[in-house]
Formats: sequence, C-alpha cells, structure tokens
Amino acid sequence: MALLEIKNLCVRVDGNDILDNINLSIGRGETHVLMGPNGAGKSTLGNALMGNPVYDITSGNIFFNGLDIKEESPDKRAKAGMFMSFQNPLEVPGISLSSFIRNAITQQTGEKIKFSQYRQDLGSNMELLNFDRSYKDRDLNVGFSGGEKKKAEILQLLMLKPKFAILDETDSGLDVDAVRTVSEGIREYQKFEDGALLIITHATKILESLHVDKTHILVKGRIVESGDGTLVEEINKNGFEKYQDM
Amino acid sequence: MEKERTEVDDIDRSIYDFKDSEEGFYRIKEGLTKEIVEKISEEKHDPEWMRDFRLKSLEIYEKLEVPDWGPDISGLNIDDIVTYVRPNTKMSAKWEEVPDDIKNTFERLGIPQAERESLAGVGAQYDSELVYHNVKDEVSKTGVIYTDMESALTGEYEQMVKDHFMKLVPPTDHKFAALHGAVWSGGSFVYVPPGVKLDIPLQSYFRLNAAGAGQFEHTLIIVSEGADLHFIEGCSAPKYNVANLHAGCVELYVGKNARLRYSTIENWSKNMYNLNTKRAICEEGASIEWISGSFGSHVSYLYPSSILKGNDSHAEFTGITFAGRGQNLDTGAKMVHIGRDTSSFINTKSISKDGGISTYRSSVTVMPTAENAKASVSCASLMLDDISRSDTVPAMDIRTDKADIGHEAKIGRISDDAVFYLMSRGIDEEDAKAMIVSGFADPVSKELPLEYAVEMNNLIRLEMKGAIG
Amino acid sequence: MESRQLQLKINPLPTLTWNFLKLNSAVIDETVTLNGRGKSTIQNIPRGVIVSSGSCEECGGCDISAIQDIRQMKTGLGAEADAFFEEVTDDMLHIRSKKNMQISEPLCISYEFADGDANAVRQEIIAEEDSRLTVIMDYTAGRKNGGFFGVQTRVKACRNSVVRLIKINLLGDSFLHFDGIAALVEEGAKVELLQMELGGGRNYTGTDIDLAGYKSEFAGNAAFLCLGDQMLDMNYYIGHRGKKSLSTLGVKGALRDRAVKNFRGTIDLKHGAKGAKGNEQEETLLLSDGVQNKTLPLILCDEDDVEGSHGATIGRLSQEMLFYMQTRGFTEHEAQVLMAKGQLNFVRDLIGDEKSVGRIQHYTEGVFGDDR
Repeated sequence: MALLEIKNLCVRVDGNDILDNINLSIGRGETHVLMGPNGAGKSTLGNALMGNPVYDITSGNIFFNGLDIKEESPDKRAKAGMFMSFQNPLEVPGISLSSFIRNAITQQTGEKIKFSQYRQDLGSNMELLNFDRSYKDRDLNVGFSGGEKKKAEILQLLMLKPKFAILDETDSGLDVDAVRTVSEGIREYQKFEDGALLIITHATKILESLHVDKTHILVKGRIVESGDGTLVEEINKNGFEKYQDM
Repeated sequence: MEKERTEVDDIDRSIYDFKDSEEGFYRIKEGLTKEIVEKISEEKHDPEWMRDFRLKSLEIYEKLEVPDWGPDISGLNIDDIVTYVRPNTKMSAKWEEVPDDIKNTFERLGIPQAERESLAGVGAQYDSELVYHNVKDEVSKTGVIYTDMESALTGEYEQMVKDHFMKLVPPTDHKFAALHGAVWSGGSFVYVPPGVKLDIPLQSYFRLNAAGAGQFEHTLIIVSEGADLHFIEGCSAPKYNVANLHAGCVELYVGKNARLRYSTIENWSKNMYNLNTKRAICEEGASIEWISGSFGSHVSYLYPSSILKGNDSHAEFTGITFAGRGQNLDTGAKMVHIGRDTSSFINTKSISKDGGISTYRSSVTVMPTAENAKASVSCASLMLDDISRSDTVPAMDIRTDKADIGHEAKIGRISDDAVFYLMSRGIDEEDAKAMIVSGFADPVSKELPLEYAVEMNNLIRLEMKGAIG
Repeated sequence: MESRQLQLKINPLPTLTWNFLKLNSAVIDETVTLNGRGKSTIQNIPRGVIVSSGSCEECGGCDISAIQDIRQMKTGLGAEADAFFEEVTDDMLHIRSKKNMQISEPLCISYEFADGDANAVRQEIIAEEDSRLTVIMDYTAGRKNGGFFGVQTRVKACRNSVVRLIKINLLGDSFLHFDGIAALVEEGAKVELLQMELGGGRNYTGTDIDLAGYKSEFAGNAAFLCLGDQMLDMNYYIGHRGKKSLSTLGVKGALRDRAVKNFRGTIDLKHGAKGAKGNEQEETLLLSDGVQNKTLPLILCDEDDVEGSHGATIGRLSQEMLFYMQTRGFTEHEAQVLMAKGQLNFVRDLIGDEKSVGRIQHYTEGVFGDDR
C-alpha cells in the first residue's frame, strides 16, 4: 500500500474550482516532482493535502498510511508524519528558531527531548545547510532573508523527520548558491529511511542533484502527464507549451 | 499671469462671502424658549405629534450638559441665536420663480449649472426653508421620492417620516441633537424603492445667509432593499462677526443589500459653530460610504457614525479636514459592529495651518455578536507650520476575539526631501508644497464627484498659496 | 491598621474624549485596609549605588534640588492616586547612583506577599550625571492570593545618565495593584522601562514620562498576560519637551477567558520640541470570546518639525499563522499558548537578569501548566 494515496480529489478556493480529479500515489521513500506553469494549482494541492482551511475539498479522498485524513486538522496530519515547507514561511515573533523546533518535536512525539542531544542535532543540521549558528536564537523567520527562511524550513524538515514532506516552491526566489544548499538538505532528508517527498516547483534547478522517482505535470488543475525522472529534462528543454492546450 | 502672494493669508472666500438683505423675511426672535418652539411649530404647520416632539426635545435640551470634551464652544450663546428665518418666498421647482437675489446666490455657487450637467435632483435651502426643489422626470418615474422635509411631513409620507424621524439619532443622544429636535427646519426626505439604482446623484445645498442665525435642517434618507443612491450635500455661509450655528441631523437607513454613498463638502464661514450629527444604519449586506470634506466653520464637532447591524454589512469613511486660522475642527467617525462578518474602514487626512487646530477623533466598537468583524483605521495628519496643532484621539473597544482590528496613525510635516526632489525637477517651492499637500489629500479627492474634487483642490491650493485671486 | 474607603479617579487621560467609551479615567471605589504586611528584600547593593530609607531629611546625602524636582513629579496614575500614596505612607526608599558610575549589576528589590497583605510603598530613584543604574522590582504572592499592593516609583535621570527600571508583577489573582511611575529625563539621559504584567487581579499602571532635556530618550516595553478574570488598566503619558527627544513604547500581550484590558497611550509633542520623535505600537492577541479590549492611542501635536506615529493590531491568531503552526504539529490551543509566550518573551528577553527571567518562566509555566 502506498504511503499517500490521493483519489479523485477536487479542490475549490474562494468559490473557484482549482483542482479537478487529481489521482496520485506516493510510496514510502519515493520522491515525486510536481511541475506546471504558474497558476496551474500546484500549491493548492500541497495546501489541500496539509489541510489548509482556505482550500475546500469538494470531492475525493486523501489516504495517508491507509487512513482517510481528509477531515483531520493540520496538526493531526503533522503528528501523523506529514510536513509542508511553505512557499512564504510565516514570521513567529518572540519564539526563537531553536525553541520553536524543540517545542514542535515535543508536540509531535509527546516527550521531552534531551537538550544536549537536541543541540547537537540542530548544530550539525545547521552546518549542513550552511546556516549561521547565531540564527538559532533569533525569532523564527523574523527579519530572515528569503533564502534564510527557506533554510529554516528545510532545517525543520530535517529535525522533525516526517514520513512525507511537501516542498512548496522551496527554490523560488533563491540564488544559485542557496538552491544548492537547500538541495543538499533535501538530499539529506532522502537518506532517511522511508522519507517520501513531493517537490512542487516550476523550475528544474533544484532537481539537478536529486534522485527523482516520478514526475507529474499539472496544467489548469489536472495532471496531464506522469513519467519518471527524465520528464524533468524534457520540461527543462521544451517547457510546458505542449500541454497548455490540452 | 497674476503673481500669487507668498505671505499666507486667509483664504479668498469672495465666492462664498456675498450677503443678501433679509428684507421681508420672517425672523423669529433670538433665544430658545417654549414660546419660540411653539411659534416655530405653528409657523411650520406641524402635525400635533411633531409639535409634542419639539417640546419634549426642548425639555431634554434643558437637562443635558454641553460636552466636557472637544473644542471650546463658550462663544456660542443660544440666547443670541435666531433659530428660524424664513425667506419671503415659497418653495419652487423652477429657478425662474426663485427671487432674484436668492437665485443669484445659488447661481454664484454653481448649483443650477451642476443640476443641468450632472445631477438627478436638487434641493436648495436658504436659511430655514427650502426655496427650490426639483427632480428629473426620469427619476420620479422610478418611484424615487426626493422632497423637502416639510412636504414629506404634512403629505402622504407622514407615517414614513414618523417611523424614522430621530429614531436613529434620538434627542437624548446629546444636547445639540435635542436642540435639533426642538427647532429643526428644512432639509430633505429621500426614499428609494427596492431595487432602484440611481446612477447619477441627488444633491442638497444648504445656504445660511442670515447673521446670528442657526440652521437646523434634517435629512432623512431611506434606501430600500437592493437599491443604490449617491447623495451629495454642500453647505456654505457668508462670514459675520456674530456666531452662527449649524446643528443639522442626518439619518440614513440603508436596507438589505442596498448601497448609499453620502458625500459632503462643508465650507461654512469661519464664524460658524458646526455641531452636526450624522448617522447611518445598515441592514444585512448593506453598505454605507461616507466622503467628507471639512474646510469651513469656526468650530466643528462632526463624527458620522455607521451602525453595522446586519450581517455582512460594510462601512467606509473617507475624510479630509483642513483647519486654518481661527478654526478648531474636531472631526472623525464612529463605527459600531453588531452583525457577523461586518467590516469597516476609516481613512482620514488632517491638515493644520496658520494656527488652526484639527483633531481626529474616532471610535470603533466591536460587539460580542460581531463575529469575524474586520476594522481598519488609518489617519494621517500634516502640520504646515509650528503655530498650528493636530491631535489624534482614536479609540477601539473590542469585545470578541473573532475580530481583526488594525490601526495606524501618523503625524508629521512635509518632508524636506520630497520638496527638494520636486524643486530639483524645476518646480518652485510653493508649487512643490501645494503638490505634496494635494497628493496627501488625493485619497479623498479622488472619491469625490469631479466638480467637487476640483473645488476641493482649488480650496487646498488657495489655502496653500494665500492668493488674493 | 486602618480601613479606608478608596474613591479615586485613576489613570486619567490628558485630554478628554467621549464619555461612553469609559476611557477618560478609571474609577476605584472600595475599602482597603492597609496592614503594612509583606516583605521586601534587597539581595545586595551593587557598588556605586546608595540605598537608604526613611524620610528624606534623615538621609541628607542627596542634592536637595534633585529631591525637590522628584517630589513635584506626577505619576501616570493621576493626582488623586498620587495624593493617596502621599497620605498613606511616609516610608520612602531612596536609590541613587553616584556620578560617573556605570553600574551594570542590577539592584534587585523583591516584594513578597501572603494572602490578605495590604501595603503601599514608594521609591525615589536618582541617577546622577553620567551614571548608569538598573533597578529590578518584582512583586510576588501565591497564585490564588488576594490583597492590595500599591507602589509609586519616581525617577530622575540626570544629564547623560541611563536608568533601566524593570517591574515584574507576579501577584496573586485577587490582588488590587497600583503601579505609579514618573520619570524626568534630562539632556542626553535615557530611561528604559520594562514591565511584565502577569499577575494581580485588578492592575492599574500609570506612567508619566517627562522628556525635558535635549536628546532625552524613553524606551518603554510592556508585556501582559490576562487570563481568567484578570483586569489590566494602563495609562502612559509621554511628554516631549526637549528638542530631538525620542520615545518608543511597545506593548504586547494576550487576553483570554474573561480578561479585560484598557490601554491609553499618549505621545505629547509639545511646542518647541523640534526634531522630536515618538512612536507607540500595540499588539494584542485575543484568545477567547469573553475578552474585552479597549485601546486609545493619542498623539497630541503642537509642533511641525516632529514625527509621531502609532500602530495597533488587535485580534485573534491569523488563519495563516494558525495553519503554519498546525503543520508543525501544534494544536490550536498549543499554538495560542506559544504565541502568547512569544508576546511575553519579547520583553522578558530584554531584562538581562537570569534570576528574574527564571521567576517569570516559573510563573508562566505555572499558569499555562494549568491548561493541560
């Protein structure tokens, strides 16, 4: 049985139908890429999977680990092992990056973690992400640059160790070096046993050094093609034009 | 081109300051007594309930205190005010029938021209009574009623008037509301039937000519379900050395899914005490939009309020206040959220100059029932010199957690950088400053009908330049 | 021991507005029996600080003119509350930093109360020229305790001095609490005020800052947490007299259950205060249906070459923020607690004294612990 099973999913936002009959199946440890032009509904899928109340599921089902999670609140989904890296991460004033992540781990596991172990993990992951250590004591995302916010999201991914993570345009607005670093972090996550990914992107740079199992093309709210990793290269060369009129 | 004077002087008010004689006018004696109120009622042929209402209001007036907050009004003595002045003419629907001097007054103010060009109907009040009232035929045919209050009160709409008159602003509201209840005269009655959308505005113009007089017009507007109206109000008076008083009352009933836009350009002379009360109530899905420009008067107390009673109702207030020499203008807005999913938006600009005092005062109240209320307040004040004053007094009272309230206020002067930037493009300093002030006022002027926006910009330009014409 | 009927107008606005708002002042009408109980402790007195108590004449160590200045000062609680302090207590704690002494170690004064204690105290703080002084006061009682605690603190920051005044309210939930603060800030001097308003049942804090000197400065930060039936009534008045004087005031906190909070904040840019700048920001998180929040931020401006600004954000946790927190596994309740703590941390982290931070931590863990 797949880890995530999306069946006939239709999603509406502000009265507009955005996603039309999406079917997708992601197995444990698999990395899927969701590509498509701007406005195709890529982020809508990520938000609907994670349970954003703004996104209204009009029909269809989402199974995670065999359970229908469509009605679950986002925190229940997170506790079940889902994660989403936000396109625009929110600023959390008054709570440091370090204390936020520690609180989140405690919430999800239900037990306090050893501070020394935690500090070590956090330190090594920050190093991997080339993330200035001083940021751990700064309020989460407050005054962070775009790149730093994205690094902070990937840092949470590595610290929370979800079973399945949605990366929503994690590469958007980043310079070449930052994309490389973030990509490094994602590769680290892929090393986790069973760590599955849905990478939402409209560029291909971030995928260059990553192993990709499957690629899906989303145009106007529908998945118009699915293939293996080589589809990424094809898109890289020819863009989405041939799908636009489908 | 005539060189504009550089010293700052009082605004050229020659277009407003002409006075006419009151020969042949009926003028009640000064002061406020039971006898005077009874006499007004008799002169106006009130129905009995209205006569009782006036006397009851007078009792309330005598019990209430003047406000202990706000600008000083000790220069106003009701014993010196003539509460009723009737011009020696009947109301007419043709300008030709209006006596020449009065007609000329309105000609100089541009009212007949505006009527021809861009209005669906016009009412013109001179002192205490309307002298002209006319509605375009195509508007009358839609069932829209636009008439003077007296005709409404003594005619077929009496019951409608009785059901609404001072129900929204009761005489107990404050001392000057009670005064209004006792001596009101003139004003307009508007009824827009369900579903009727007027795409050109109606306008009432209030002119107070008599020295030492008060004007107490009552405006009652009922916009029925799904209807749409834009109403414009203009006011002016020549300057006298004695105090004049304006204590009007505006009551606006906005029905389900109806929309009302109420625009005012107030340019009373600088001997006027302007103690005006304006209030709107919105039913479900209704919206009220206030556009308010306060330029004239010696003292103003003016805070149009919006009661968002129905779910999903919406209020917007956009205002500008320009206080110059000898002026103390206390203006703002009140918003009361009662229904669910209601929203309100206040955006005001104040300018102080030549020793003028402007105060922005507001309140936003969100009741426990007003789930998902949204309110936003933004007020900016500009100080044009260091002898003027500008205060900001905005209150918020929030009684539910299911609300999102934002507020921002700023006070400062014209930035030297901005002036320098414009000057570096070859614009002289005065023009640069005038441009910046116009830009500051722009959010309000762009909401006004074109001819009013032009008038407002002229007023600002004149104020800025102190031109002699 | 004497019962007295307290009938006071407290926390008055410098200019009045509509009476229906009930913000022009607050009214106190109740019987208070002052019993002088409660314990105050000063752990140690840092070098360069002089502390004495009793009436002024006994001490004689100070410059008399400074004392006269300080006696004239009005707190933000208003004249009636100031007169009450004058009347009920002669006891005065004098705190003074010597000229040119830069004292980094704080002077910590702890007031501890048991149930039923009722006391009023006063302090005068003088930072002499070019000195730096930190005074931390915390007020503690058992969580469920009731009583009365009035405190009046007057500060004179002489030329180029820096005074950091830190007040931590951890009183019991049934305490009536007055905290009156006044400060006179001379040329080049700075007063920094940090307030943690966490405990107490009905709290009235009134702060009056006189930025008298050229380039004088005030930086105020207050954090509050009102749960259950707690009530907090705040009044700040910041008068800018000095040219290029500078003020910032940040107030952040959360209301839950049936809590009530009133905030009045006035920036008064007086005539002649050329180049002055004043800014206040308020952020209130509303966490339950039954809360009531009133906010009245005033800017009075009698000068053109000045900048005054105010911003307020009042409301629940935004939907986007809630969703973000939930995707990290926090329930709505946990997200609210975390955000409320965040509001407090913002001031707590400025205190810079481990013991005080520990006390605050202990208190907040206590109140939020009850939720689980």
